[in-house]
Amino acid sequence: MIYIIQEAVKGFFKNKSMSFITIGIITISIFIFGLFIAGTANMLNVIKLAEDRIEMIVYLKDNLKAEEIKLLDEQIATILGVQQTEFVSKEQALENFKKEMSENSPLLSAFESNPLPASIKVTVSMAYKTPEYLREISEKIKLFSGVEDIDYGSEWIDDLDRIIKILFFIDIILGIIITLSSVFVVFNTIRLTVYARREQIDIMDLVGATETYIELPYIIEGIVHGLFGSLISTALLYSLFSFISTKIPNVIFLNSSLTVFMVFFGMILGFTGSFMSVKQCMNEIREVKRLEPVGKRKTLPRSVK
Amino acid sequence: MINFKNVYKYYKKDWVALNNVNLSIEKGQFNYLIGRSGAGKSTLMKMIYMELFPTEGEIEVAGYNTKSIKQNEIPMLRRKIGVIFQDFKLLKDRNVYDNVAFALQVTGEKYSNIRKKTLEALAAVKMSHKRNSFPYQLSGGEQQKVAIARAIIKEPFILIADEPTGNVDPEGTRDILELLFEINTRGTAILMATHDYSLIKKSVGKVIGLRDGKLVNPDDIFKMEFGGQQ
Repeated sequence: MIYIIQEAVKGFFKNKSMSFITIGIITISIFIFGLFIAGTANMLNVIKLAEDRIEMIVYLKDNLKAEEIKLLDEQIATILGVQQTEFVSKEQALENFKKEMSENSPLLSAFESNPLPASIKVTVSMAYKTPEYLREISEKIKLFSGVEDIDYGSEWIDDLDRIIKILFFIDIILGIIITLSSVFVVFNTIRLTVYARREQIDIMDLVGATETYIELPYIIEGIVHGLFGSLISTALLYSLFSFISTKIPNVIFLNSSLTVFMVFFGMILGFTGSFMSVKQCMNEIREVKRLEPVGKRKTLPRSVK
Repeated sequence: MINFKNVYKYYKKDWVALNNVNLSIEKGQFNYLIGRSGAGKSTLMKMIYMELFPTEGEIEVAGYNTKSIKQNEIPMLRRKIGVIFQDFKLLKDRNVYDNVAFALQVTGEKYSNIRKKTLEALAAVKMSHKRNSFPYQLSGGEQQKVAIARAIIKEPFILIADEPTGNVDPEGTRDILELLFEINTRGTAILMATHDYSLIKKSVGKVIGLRDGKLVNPDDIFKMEFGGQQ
């Protein structure tokens, strides 16, 4: 065990330029991956902000009695997906309207009586804010007596839903491409460092080192490279995002669990890269030895001179 | 100790490296393996430490059989076999001491034993004084001695030497041969491949002749090479 750790540390410092390159490549890969993750996180954030604004207004017929309104309110509250209801009286509606319009708007003075209907504001739970559920809920509410009309922005919700779906699709494709390409690039870089020491692997194999002994130093080295690379890129990403957030509000950086995930991803990248490289390198060394030796080609059957 | 039973080895389909080889190497025996390049010497040697496996037939080495050995048993077998090559196969970035100690380090030897055993092996090949030198600072003969030290440090039952003097000057060659004899007298069997037949006359070992993958009477090879003179 002492040897394995010693070797990993030695390998790290002996091949400084290779270590440097590997860490650099991992840093860049993770940085791009992190940009992608942070981009996704921000996209989700924007979607959430948009979805938060989805609400359903149930307009009531005029001349409903207080008991009828109370009953209706209770009936709506029992529908699956309804999180909260809030009654808004005619007067309150006018009050809100005035607030939005600024007090002495000429439009207001045109009204002789209050033209606004009373309504019930329905908050729908997050999970039910899809076009299908919203339609279902609104249809159920329509069946109750005393309901004049329902408004939940059905047109733009369909649009929003479509945009979210497209964005998710692009995001997943991008995610796959970025993940695969970083694995590929890191794998190839680490392979160079392993191949630079194939002589050593060859001799270890010859003197009877077990595969664990041959592979572990490289794997540990790979994990350490991954750790350094991901730490550096996380720091870079963090400073980039703190800079951006001073210019654009509402931009969020990765939360702590995503940051941990990034570092973890870097280590996984280093691990898989080195594991695959060293396995491949050993197989190739063994394969080369099994190929035909240099010399004349002989054919069967052959005769002895 | 080592037994070849009807061993055939084909590279690809029509390329015969070994052709029905039956051979046994006994404990403590000194063996020469002679034949031209391409006669199958290296193939035969690689089969002993199970780098290569027979296409047909079987080989038994120290209780392991090529037909039944598992991948994870191969390292255990190799710890009982020392191997040296024409090109020494030393690690250029390590000094003599580390090159020799390497064989112990990577096989999980106790840390406290490594120093003692390494110094002993270096003393055995008379290279103690150069323990801090790097391979590029040594002559071919000296490098081969270091390789021998690495090969015998685990006290193998056999030392396989594939053209050990191929890259060594005459003086170094004499040293290497003396060293091999000395190792042999301590009970380690030796299998030395060579096509320098002048090395053979001086010794009393068994000679194995190989031509086109077949075992032949070594005298035939001498006759062929020297037109009947031995």
